[in-house]
Amino acid sequence: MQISLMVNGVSVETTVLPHVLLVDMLRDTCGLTGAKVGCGTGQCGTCVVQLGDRSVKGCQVLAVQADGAEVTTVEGVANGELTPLQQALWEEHGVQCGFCTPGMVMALTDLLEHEPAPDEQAIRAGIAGNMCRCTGYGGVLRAVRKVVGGKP
Amino acid sequence: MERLEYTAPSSLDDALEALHANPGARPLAGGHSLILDLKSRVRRVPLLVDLGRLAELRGVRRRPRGELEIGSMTTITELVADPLVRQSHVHGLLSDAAATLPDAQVRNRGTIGGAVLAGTDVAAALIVLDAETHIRSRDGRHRRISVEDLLDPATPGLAPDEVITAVGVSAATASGAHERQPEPATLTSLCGVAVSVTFRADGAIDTCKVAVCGGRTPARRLPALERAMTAIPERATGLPLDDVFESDDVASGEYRAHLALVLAKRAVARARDRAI
Repeated sequence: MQISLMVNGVSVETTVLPHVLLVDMLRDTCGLTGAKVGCGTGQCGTCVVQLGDRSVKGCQVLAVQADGAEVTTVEGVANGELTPLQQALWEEHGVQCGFCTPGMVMALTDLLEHEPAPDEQAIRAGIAGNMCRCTGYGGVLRAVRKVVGGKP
Repeated sequence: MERLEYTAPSSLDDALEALHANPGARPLAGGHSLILDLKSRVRRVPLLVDLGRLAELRGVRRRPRGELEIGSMTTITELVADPLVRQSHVHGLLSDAAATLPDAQVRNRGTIGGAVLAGTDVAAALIVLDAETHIRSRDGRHRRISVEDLLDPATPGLAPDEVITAVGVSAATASGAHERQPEPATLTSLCGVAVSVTFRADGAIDTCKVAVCGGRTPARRLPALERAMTAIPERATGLPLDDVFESDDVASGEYRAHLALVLAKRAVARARDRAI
């Protein structure tokens, strides 16, 4: 099927079979390997990207469903320099092995875009769908607190 | 995932025609159960009919008699953020139920129509709100059936060529709340309880609707629990609920029944706080 969409602000026209997942198309066709396939069952959150203005699990969406849409991956978040969220993740050691980081960044970018001053409960709920096997959640939470309130 | 065909019609009539003309075709909404089933090959579907392009199935409208009509493809995120829903008595209860979904990404993509058919916490909330599904099939055929009856295993349910187009919630004012006990590994509800309560001027409970969900038991009303909550909820104990829930490898039916009573009391207390 012929589809056309915007990926990180760049127009992409491609042919894709209907059963191909969005995350696979982004990785294999667009070469954007930030979003990863962790569990493949919608639980781990390493595949999170933005579809339109909301974060979705890239392994729960077919590429053909994104026809005509705007997709943003972790590669498209920073514009020359790290966003405040990314900078805070760096400073607060919110990245350990890094496998979950692209999904964390995309889920939290969605959260902060729609709720600029989340309380602790909302921050935690914001990464409920992202698993960190290093259990480095403390650093991630400190980073978000720093972005929101200036203090980790 | 096995190969399949896909179509994304731009009109409901085209979608209904595609579902009718292709045996085994399934409508695709949020995809959180269907795409997962296709990946694990639990289900094989020759044709997916994506409802995602049907603008007429999205959004919340207020009908002349005050009823809220929620388009079936409205996402859970859109639902709880909708101004009409936020101003309405249903917001507290639906927000409670929406928060039971595993994460923001599922709420961003998951739809109210899908939540009805999933038969879990959101469906339980809709049942105590007396919500009605609006169902269409081809040639303009339509029917309305309550969420409660649609999920009743004794009724035929949704036919393969039928689509839920909207969920209607009446304008009645009651105070609602939802409580649940999640299963830690999957965050699904071991037991979820939704209540919709009206109080008398002296604070006593006038009417109380209770719906439960948990395990393989689709959301359903529970009259025994409703009667107990309408009497003196704090004193309710030892209700005949043991046959309501099935036992599975996560929890026994007996434990779920115990949770139902505890959670119903909590939900009624929360509904009371909201009513004041």
